Formats: sequence, structure tokens, C-alpha cells
Amino acid sequence: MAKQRGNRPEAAAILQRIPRDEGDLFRGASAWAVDLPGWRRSVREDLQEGPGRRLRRTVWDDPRNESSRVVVDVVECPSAEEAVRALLDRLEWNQLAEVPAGPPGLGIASFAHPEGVPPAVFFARANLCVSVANFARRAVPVVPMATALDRRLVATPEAGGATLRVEALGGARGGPMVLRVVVPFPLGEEGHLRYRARGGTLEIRDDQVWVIPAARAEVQVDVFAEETGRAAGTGRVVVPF
Amino acid sequence: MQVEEVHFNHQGGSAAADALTIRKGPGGSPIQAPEWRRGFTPLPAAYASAPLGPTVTIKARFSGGPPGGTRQIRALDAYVEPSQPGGCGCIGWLVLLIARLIRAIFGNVLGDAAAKPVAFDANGMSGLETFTLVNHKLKTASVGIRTTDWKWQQRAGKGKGSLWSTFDTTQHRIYTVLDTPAGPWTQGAGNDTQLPWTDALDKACAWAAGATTKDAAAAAITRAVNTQPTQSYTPATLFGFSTYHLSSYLGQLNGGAPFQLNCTDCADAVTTLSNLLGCDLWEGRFFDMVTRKFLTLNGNPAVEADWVTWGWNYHEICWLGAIGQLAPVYDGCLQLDMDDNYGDLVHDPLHPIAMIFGTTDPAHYKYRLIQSGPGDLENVPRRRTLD
Repeated sequence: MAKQRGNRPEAAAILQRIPRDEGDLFRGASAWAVDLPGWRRSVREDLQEGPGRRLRRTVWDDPRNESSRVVVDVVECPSAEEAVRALLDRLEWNQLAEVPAGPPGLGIASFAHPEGVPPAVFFARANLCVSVANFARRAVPVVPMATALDRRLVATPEAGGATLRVEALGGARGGPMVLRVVVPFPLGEEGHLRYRARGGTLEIRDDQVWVIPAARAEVQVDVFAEETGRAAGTGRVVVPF
Repeated sequence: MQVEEVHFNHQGGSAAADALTIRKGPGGSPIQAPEWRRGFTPLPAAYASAPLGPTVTIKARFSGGPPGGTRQIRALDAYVEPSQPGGCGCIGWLVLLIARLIRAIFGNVLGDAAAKPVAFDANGMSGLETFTLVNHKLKTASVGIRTTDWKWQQRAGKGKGSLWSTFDTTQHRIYTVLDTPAGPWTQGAGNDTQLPWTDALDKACAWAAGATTKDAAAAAITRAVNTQPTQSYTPATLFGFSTYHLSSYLGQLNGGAPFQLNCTDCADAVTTLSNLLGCDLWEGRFFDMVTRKFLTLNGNPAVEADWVTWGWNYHEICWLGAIGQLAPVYDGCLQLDMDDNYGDLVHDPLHPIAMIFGTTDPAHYKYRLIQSGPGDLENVPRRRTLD
């Protein structure tokens, strides 16, 4: 994280909001058309944002007005803590002297451009740092899009799809373990895996998902394989203490 | 007889006698010689003027030669100039002049391949033969993208009675830059994604076409970044602060749809594309300021609403050589107002090109940009890794 200047929030206060005994983690997440109804995706890019951070960028055009475009960046980080740091990095690299807090309830923390500036909103949720920003001259209200995306990230997916095989491997009892998931169908480019842990947290280390138990706790991890047009595949593993 | 292969970058890691090592973009693999291969789509080559020594060579291989025999082979410019007009036909001379001008900008820069004897095996195949380029303009060429059409000729002997006959033609797309590309670009080995991209050379060589000095090249790139008609300003960095998403920026430019970017994105574009041509720019920030009125990115000087002021946490620009109070700077994100009265509607736009960063001198960049606030230098020079 670059050196902080100007009027910027402290990381510590935001990091305290991250639960220590539960958490979600996403792999492969990006914006979907349902987040921006009526908009047409024109660009999808997979980019690097420094060590361990992977940026999935989509650009959306308004078919009714060519001066209306929105860019949605979803940065996949190794952990929820890293997602908060990625959020603060985005503020650090914003020229505005001050970036006010975003709408209440958006992400674990959020910030938004003030009135009179090309609209943009930034938030962290789970291991994701998300920004939804105006990308052309005509100002577009981006908060509803960000809110829709965040709601989708928080919602429990409708199950009913295939069953996933989920295993927790290696590690000492009560310590971090690697999760292995077998999805019985190929996920499309918009597909992602969602991990939901209760009794512990989740991290990506060396391109593998690890479950880290909270103190003296059994951890239940539900895994969902989600993509548009298909019921989510689900699987569960319980890691005993 | 026919040409099978032509190699331009035939000495990896060196650009003193041959072409640079380049790649198309961040994906795939570097462009490997032979850049021209019979039956395949020709690949481009790029030359940097400054490091080239007195002798520039290519390599070529031939088939269909005399089994066990030898032939003299050379390559000549295949361009045929329009015939000179007779009498005082002004239009004819004008056409000739325009043709020569176009040719000087876009035509053959490789010159000719000097004649040499080439031996053929029993199957009529030659080895990979080295040819010296003669009459080339690679040492003096301006920045550009040029096409060379060669006619390959052979003859049986050296004597006057032995006539040259054309046996094949090849066409080559050649980028010319002023010096070895500077960081973040490299001339490394292996599958290095920081090798110069032809996707970026297409843009940089077009924007700075005709530049013969590094100053002129950086100036042209700065102006071009500032005036692309599809761009507009936002305070958020949208093309990367850790890695520079150059592929994404080029995609937006080539896509033709409007898009937004900020000062860091502009500084990335100016530094990266200028350094691709051999310049020596760095990016660096300064902090805490309220600006005077300036012309916003891609603004129209005649539109008052395009003259704006901002309260900025930071601003990032390009520095020649090193960051310093007296260093020359380039800013592709805005145009300064050089009119001394900031309260009226009279503006005098100026691209900040090789301006001294300075302090309180009205000729300096800092005075013209900052109305209030310290504008402290961060003094962290950056050239961001590309993807």
C-alpha cells in the first residue's frame, strides 16, 4: 500500500469490522448483466493488480446513449483484510482531496465520489474490492449498480444444482487446512466459486483456498459454483476441531 | 528459385546490428525470427537508431537454386518512382513531390541487401545466409512505421555479361524508434511480457511519426495523450496504479468509444509510449494543492466550462531523467493557462512539455498549475510494470 497523504481513512478502523469467526471468499467473480439491467457488456478483461490481486474488469455500454458507459472492476484478493487494503489503495490513487464515505450498508466499507465529479463508488466485500465508475462524459448513477452487485455477493445462492465434492486436506487438527473442490461441470467465463465459512475464515495462499479455524471451533464451509442461467452447485465440508 | 525465410532479429539480446526483440502484446510469445517465412503471415520488425553500429545485417534462406551450384543474390528496393514529367506540367511535378514525401515517411528504410554468393546443396537449398544492408536509413530515420518491398535478384556469375534477374519479392513492416526502449520496456530473453509490444508501437509510432529527437517524440506523445477525442477526465485511476493496464488503455483507444482516465493514467501513457521510442521519462507525484484554472483533458480552449480547477490530494506527471524541482516535466492530463489574469475569461492554453517544474517563476509548471497548497514532491520515480 502506498504512503497515505491527504484526508484518507485509517486501515485499522475498517479492518476491525472483519469478523474473525466467519467469512466469504470468491474465486472468479465479476459483474453480471443482472447487476446492470439494460446495459450491454462491451469489454471483459482479466488483469493483474500487483502481487496476489487479480482484476476482472467489465465495461458496460448503454445501448440508448453512447455517451453513457460504466466500468466495473472486481479485484480478487487473498483475504478480506487484503480487500480492505486494496480499497484503501484505490483511495490513495484517487486525486480527490477527500473521498467521502459511500452509502450505508454497501460492503464492509465504501467510498463514493461527491456530487459534481464523474460518479464512482468503491467498496470491499469478502475478499473482493469492487469499484463501479462512470466511464464516459454523461454522468451515470452508479450506486444502484454497486448496490445490486453487493446484494448478489451477500445473498445465499439458490441451490438445486449439481453436488460439489468438497474436501479439507492436510494440516494439523485445529489448524489451517486446504480446501479442494471438484465441480462436475465446466464453469463459464462468468462463473465463480463462492466459499462461505462459519467458525473460521478463508484465505487464498499459493493459489489454493485455505480455511483458518477460529479458536477452538469446528468450521463448516459451504461452497457454491455459480453462473448465470444455472442453479448453483453446492457442497459442504465440516472441519472438526 | 524462391525466398524461404528472412530474419531481422537474428541476434537475440543485441540491437547493434539487427532488429529489436519485440512481441505483439502481453499475451502469446515474443516474435521469433524468421519474421518473413514463405506461406505464413509476415511479422513486423523494429529497429532502434541509436544503438545500431556501422553494419546492419539480415539473414535469408532460399530454395530452388542450382543443385550443388552457386548464385549471386541481392535484394533491391522494388519501389518504382513515377516517371518524371516532361515540359512544365506543374501537376506532374506535384504528384512526383507528393510521392517522394509519402515514400520518405512510409517507404523503404531498409535500403538494399548487398549482393553475395550463395551456395546451394544437392537439393537446391541454401543455408541461412547473412546479408549486409546497404543504402539503409535506419541510423537516421525518424520515428515511424514503414513498408519495404524487396525484389530478390540472382545471377550466375559476377561478370558484366551476367545479368540480374528477379526471382521473388517480399514485403516487410518495419518500426523505427530513436533508441533502445527504456523501462518499463526491456530487451530481456525468454517470454518476457515487458518486451516492446507491436500493439504499443503501432500507437506510439503513429503519434510521434516524423520525430527525429527524443524531445520531439515525448512532446508528440504528450500532445496526443492529451487530445484523444474519446477521452475525458475522472479523478479515479482507472488503468492501474500498481501495474499499468496498457493493453486495456490501447483497447479503449482502438475501440473508439468514449472512456475516462486520470493523471496517473495519462502519466503512464506518456511515459510508457515515449520510453518505447527511446525516451527517458519517469512518473512522479506531488501532493496537496488547489489548482489554478487549467484546460481539462481533451478540453476545448474555446469552451469556458472546459477550464476547471480542482482540489487534489495528488497529481502525477512525467519527469525527464529524474524527479526534481528544476527537472523538465511533461503532463498529458491537462493544458496550463499561461494568461496571467486567472480571474477573466481569457485563456492561453499550453501543453506542459519539457517545462521546468520550478517554484514561483511564472514560466514554470508549478506556478502555472498550483494556486495554493504546498505541492510537495513525493520523489518516488515510477515506471509501472505492464499488462
